[in-house]
Amino acid sequence: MGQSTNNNSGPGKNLDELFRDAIGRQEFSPSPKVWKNLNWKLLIRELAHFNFTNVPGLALVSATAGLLIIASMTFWALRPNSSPSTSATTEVPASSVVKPSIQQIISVKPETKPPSMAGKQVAKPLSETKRLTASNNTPVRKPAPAGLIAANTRIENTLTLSSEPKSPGITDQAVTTKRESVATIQAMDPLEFSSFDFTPSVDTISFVRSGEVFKYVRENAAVASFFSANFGIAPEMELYRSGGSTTREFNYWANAEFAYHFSRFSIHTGLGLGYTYDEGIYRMQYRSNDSVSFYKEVVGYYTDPADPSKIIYITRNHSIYDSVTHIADDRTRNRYTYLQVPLLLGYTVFESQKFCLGIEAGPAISFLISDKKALPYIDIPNGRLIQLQDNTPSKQFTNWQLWVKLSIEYQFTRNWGIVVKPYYKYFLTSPSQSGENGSPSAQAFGVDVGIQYLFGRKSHQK
Amino acid sequence: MVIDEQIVKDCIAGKRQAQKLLFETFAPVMLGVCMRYCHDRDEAEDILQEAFIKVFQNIHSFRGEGSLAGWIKRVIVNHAINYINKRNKIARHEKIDEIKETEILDFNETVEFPDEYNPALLLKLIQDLPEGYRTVFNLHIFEDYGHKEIAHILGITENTSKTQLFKARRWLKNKIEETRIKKNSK
Repeated sequence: MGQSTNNNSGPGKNLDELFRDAIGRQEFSPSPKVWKNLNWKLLIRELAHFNFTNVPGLALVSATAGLLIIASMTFWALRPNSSPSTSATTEVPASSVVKPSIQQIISVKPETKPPSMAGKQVAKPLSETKRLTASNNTPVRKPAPAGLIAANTRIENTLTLSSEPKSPGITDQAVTTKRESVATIQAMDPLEFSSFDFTPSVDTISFVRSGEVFKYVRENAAVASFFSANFGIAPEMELYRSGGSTTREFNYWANAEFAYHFSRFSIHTGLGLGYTYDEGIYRMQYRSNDSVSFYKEVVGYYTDPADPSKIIYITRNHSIYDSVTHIADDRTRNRYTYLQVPLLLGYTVFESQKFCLGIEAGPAISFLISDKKALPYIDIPNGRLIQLQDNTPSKQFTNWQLWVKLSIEYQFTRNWGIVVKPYYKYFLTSPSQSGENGSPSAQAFGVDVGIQYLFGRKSHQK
Repeated sequence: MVIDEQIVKDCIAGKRQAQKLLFETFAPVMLGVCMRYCHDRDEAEDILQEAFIKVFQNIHSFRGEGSLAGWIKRVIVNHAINYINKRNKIARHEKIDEIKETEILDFNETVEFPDEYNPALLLKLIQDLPEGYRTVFNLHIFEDYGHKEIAHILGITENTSKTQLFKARRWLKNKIEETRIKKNSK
């Protein structure tokens, strides 16, 4: 007690040095599971924060091109191999055609009524002397539910003329048969005669049925109006151009869209909920006390027991600290949620039994509904923060865009289908606020993929 | 432990091969650091694993102003201390068992260790130290932190840091003496 210095004299070794020398640089090989687990956690973290900017541009272009090629090949492979019908009977599915029994075979004495009595005179009258009878192999459609008359067709019939006197019984029978035939034609699906095929379809179809000549006139290639709804998801790449440099952001949308279709046109609107993120850019300036050197302090001495003429000094190291200024950059991830409302006008370019190809265009508005900005990682042991500079560009609350979409639909049931819509957005107002280089121009590319439900549209497919 | 600048850049870019190379280069030494702060190897490997995730997350902030090994070691030590703090196992003895300054000064740091070339035994002694003693002892002896810095890092007073260090030394010395006596008696 009362000693003013540590009593380190005597044989043996300084305790601190003993440990420092023995285990200060000790190494252990970690077990393989450490890297395995670490690798797994890094992978999960990367997936959770997947950044398309790490994907080479060539890979993105290749993937897009590959998808388009596959989509095109699928389309051509599944494309219906049908030519437009020119007669009612060839369009009739086998299941819905019955052969008339012998009792149904009728012999019709055509009426002598002038052709103009049944509306427009559209067909050239057959020979007045010709007597027509219904062929016994003429297909007859099963009666279908009423109300399916084509909205775009007008049925006209022209009875063959005969010079023979008519008997009242036969006339009644002919009239009844005519009515049945008209009803049958009315029951036909309008799309049988008005489907939009690549091959030019005839606007006028004439055919003979039960001794009468009927003519279909397609006035317009329009279908009945109907509603549709679709729900889809859309990954999107957004490009900002500012001051000669281009930056990319990736957005993910969940869209609910409603459309009203009339003729070949449609009006689309809906809601989209989008998630996007960008990098928070921070610059930190901090000062820390860093060990820059050391000096040795003599804390004791003793004479060497082996050689009394020698003096052994006991020293200890003292670190010298100085204040050093550092600058460090930190990048964080800011998350944003948007709500978008589009109003698009669509036009159907091509439509077949299962496929539909169209384009849509129009304005849309997006609202920033939430933003979560991450704080920079500040870990400054033995130091203090001097300045923290936030260089993250701010987002606008609203922005306007112009959209152009290519709509590819495939109906796999009567009402259900899938829809793929590659699209392009041009931002009329930038989503980001003006920076040093002015307001950045922005555009985006994406693909909306989803399911579609048609309300009320009577698809051709059984 | 030579890691060139390109590997650091590749690690910043998230390239797994570079990360693995960095891990394989520094993991043995850093596991040695972790072992000093923990009771056992499993715990040390857990800390090592979590700390290396931080290393890869923040390697972009390494400015090349010092050695990469030193920077990684600092991250490892910080994480180890945070880990221990979370477990709340650091003993706070600020008000109990006060140690007088003269007692510290009178302490003879010189020991005769019969088997000083047995690092495993010395490591075991450190691992057996009470948590609070061990952390202060490690920070002071191996990381060269002063009491002021230790106090700041652990959120204790400088006197507490000094006391803990003194107790750690005394505890270790007693253990070493016991070992020596046992060995001599054999």
